[in-house]
Amino acid sequence: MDLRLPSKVLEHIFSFVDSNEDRNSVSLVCKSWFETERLTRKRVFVRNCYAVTPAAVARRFPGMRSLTLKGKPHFADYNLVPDGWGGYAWPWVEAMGEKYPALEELRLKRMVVTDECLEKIAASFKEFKALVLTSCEGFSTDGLAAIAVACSNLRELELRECIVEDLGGDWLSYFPETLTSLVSLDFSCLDSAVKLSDLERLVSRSPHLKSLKLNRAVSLDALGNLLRLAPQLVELGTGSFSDKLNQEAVSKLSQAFSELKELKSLSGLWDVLPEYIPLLYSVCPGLTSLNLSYATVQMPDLVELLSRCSKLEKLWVMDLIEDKGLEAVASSCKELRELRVFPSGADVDETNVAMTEQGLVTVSEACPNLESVLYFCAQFTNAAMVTIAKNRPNLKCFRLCVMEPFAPDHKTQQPLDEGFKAIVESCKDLQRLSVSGLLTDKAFEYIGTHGKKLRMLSIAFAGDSDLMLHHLLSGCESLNKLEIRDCPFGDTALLENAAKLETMRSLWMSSCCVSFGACKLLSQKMPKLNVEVIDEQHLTETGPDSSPVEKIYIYRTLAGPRVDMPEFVWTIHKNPEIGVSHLAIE
Amino acid sequence: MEDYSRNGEISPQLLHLIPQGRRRNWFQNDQASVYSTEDKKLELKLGPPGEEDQHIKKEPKDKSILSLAGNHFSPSSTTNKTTSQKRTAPGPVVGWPPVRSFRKNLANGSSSKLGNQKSDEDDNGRAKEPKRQGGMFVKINMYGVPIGRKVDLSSHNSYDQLSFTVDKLFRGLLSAQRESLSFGEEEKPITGLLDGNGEYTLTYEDNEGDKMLVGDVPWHMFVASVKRLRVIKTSEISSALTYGNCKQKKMRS
Repeated sequence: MDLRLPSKVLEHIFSFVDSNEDRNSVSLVCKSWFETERLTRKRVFVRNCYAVTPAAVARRFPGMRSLTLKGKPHFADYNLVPDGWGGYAWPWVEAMGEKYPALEELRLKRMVVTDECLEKIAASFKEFKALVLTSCEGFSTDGLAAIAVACSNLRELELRECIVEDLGGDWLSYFPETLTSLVSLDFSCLDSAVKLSDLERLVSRSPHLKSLKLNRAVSLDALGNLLRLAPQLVELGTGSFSDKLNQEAVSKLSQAFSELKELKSLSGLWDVLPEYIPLLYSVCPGLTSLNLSYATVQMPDLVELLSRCSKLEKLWVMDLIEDKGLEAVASSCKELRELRVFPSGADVDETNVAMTEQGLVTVSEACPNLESVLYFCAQFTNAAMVTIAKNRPNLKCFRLCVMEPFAPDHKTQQPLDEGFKAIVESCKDLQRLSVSGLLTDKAFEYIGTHGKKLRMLSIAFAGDSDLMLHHLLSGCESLNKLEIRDCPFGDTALLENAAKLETMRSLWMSSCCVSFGACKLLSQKMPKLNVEVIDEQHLTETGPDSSPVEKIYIYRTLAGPRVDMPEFVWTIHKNPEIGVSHLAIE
Repeated sequence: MEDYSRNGEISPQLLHLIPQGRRRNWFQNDQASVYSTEDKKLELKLGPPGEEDQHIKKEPKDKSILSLAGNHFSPSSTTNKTTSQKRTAPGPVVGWPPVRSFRKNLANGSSSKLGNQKSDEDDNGRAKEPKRQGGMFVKINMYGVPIGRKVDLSSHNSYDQLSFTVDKLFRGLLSAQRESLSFGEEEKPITGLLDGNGEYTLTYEDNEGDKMLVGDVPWHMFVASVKRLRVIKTSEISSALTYGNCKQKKMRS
């Protein structure tokens, strides 16, 4: 019985299917569903730009309007991936530019984007609307000028934590007078001052502007003018908050803030002087998101601010908040969902000691919706984690960074195994976990046993042996991304669980004890994986097979070995004649 | 616990490549070495023979970060319970704590800019390789063209060569910019950059920040002092350039 629905009907039904996870499921049902789905998919996510070729993606989704790409492994954020490793946006832009000039949005994370790339985007996509670059690099402000001048329907231009060659602030002045469609502008990571009058004109002709994130160079004085031009803002990132203003200017600024009736998100606040904190009081009651991670504000001022933020759902702050400040958060911010506490000092010994595990415990007790935590702390205890786990079984993301490697429970001197056990046992929906402190293989046995929903796991300076890796790879069924550094496991666990690697997006291991021989073996036997050895010292190829490799990045791919590998990345495809026959087999 | 493959069937692994002796020992006594005495024959064994319970092998190769960490991973003759005493904190380590570079030093009141200036050294203190190997690249911008280019002065020997390069670089871009104004206009070569006769003139900014006309000093002196190049409209020369003065006018269509 042919019960196939006409494709028009299918299309209509699929138009209600938004999430890509669902769409992926839909396309597995049968051929006609696959066809209809692929023709109607508008937003494409490629979470590893090397897992598939640009051409293949372009072919499959001809109706693509929005493309999201991720490039380098996460540890690139911490300088563990050498320059020149890869993650180039160019091949994607080139492929889309030729065939799919209707592309409207490009969202890139950890990719290398050049000025040429930006020019190509500006030249190829006439309907281009949104460029969001997160943790990208390789371009200069000239590239931004190209986007500004050419994209006449631009809605979003966001540079989030990018490394940009800053050649001055002219780029902003290239937005034509005819551009009135801007909804979101974020240039907070740039250094140079833009021309204020041009910025003001841009803001005043952008009635749809909802999100404006300025860079540090925009003064407090200038901020006032901008706020008066855009009282409709929902998200604001201020510039530097430290000029000396006279009384009149202060009260005008205060007035401007109080006009921001729609404001939900506030960030920036560089160098904020304590006497200016009250300027923010009028917007606090409406805030759902507050990023104070650049604001070197001391605890008492933070308390004043946060006690007014009763609707706060997301708080990023430095450890200057101390335990006392977190108590204030606990009592005032009952809607809190996400808390990130960053270290104020660069080194372990500069960590603020007035912030301990107690701060997090207090928040976990009082905030029923808390589901995502990133917490940098000098030290921690098992008891604290047990309490947190008991209080918050709804945690989805728990990233604890005990600043000192190998630090044990500071009260009992025991490893932190039991604490993390409590977390994974209690928080059944935990999807992301970062562990730290002194941990033995037992901790990983617990994680393997209980962390069934865990998708991403980050480990550093932990474990004793191969057992550690074995527990994780054999136990964590949902494991998608695993990143490990400076842990003493070797080849056995990796080779025994090789099949697991095809079910994961990627595995990163650096400064572990995996041998070159094991990498070769793995590469030979698992052709659907790219096993990339990063070897800047050029030791592995010339050394014996037993020599450990610096860094390995393994990911599943349909695209085969990539063509843009730098010379310090080795894969088996570079020397296919090297066999593994000389290794002991059976 | 004997069955170490979760799904009951032996998935295509490399188990057969791991000698029997090793595998059997997985789930025995924690203290027992996973590596039995048979292992000494194995090529994949790491580290010198005769290790005890901890199979964290090896003296890693010196460049590894483990060497900074001192004795962490050296085999311990004690049991797991006292390993805490054996671990010592390493010195400064690349990428630790895992905080993005622009977050560091915020609290010290330093004026370090947030992250968009690549430091000359990476965290290891090694000087980063310059972005371009060899060559002397200077940025060049042209009036009316938003995107700058880079010119390798080390591959030029004279002003004429440079002028030719500028024409090559910008001719196409310039006519693309003009597309909207006069349809069908052919690409015009950019001439007269050095003698004041053309529509455009080549200028540069030297290492003292002064704006100068290109062509006045001997070539090698020019190369030694040039920091940036700019192609401006000849008509703007007298107002745009003042020797010893650093005023820079914004030129826009």
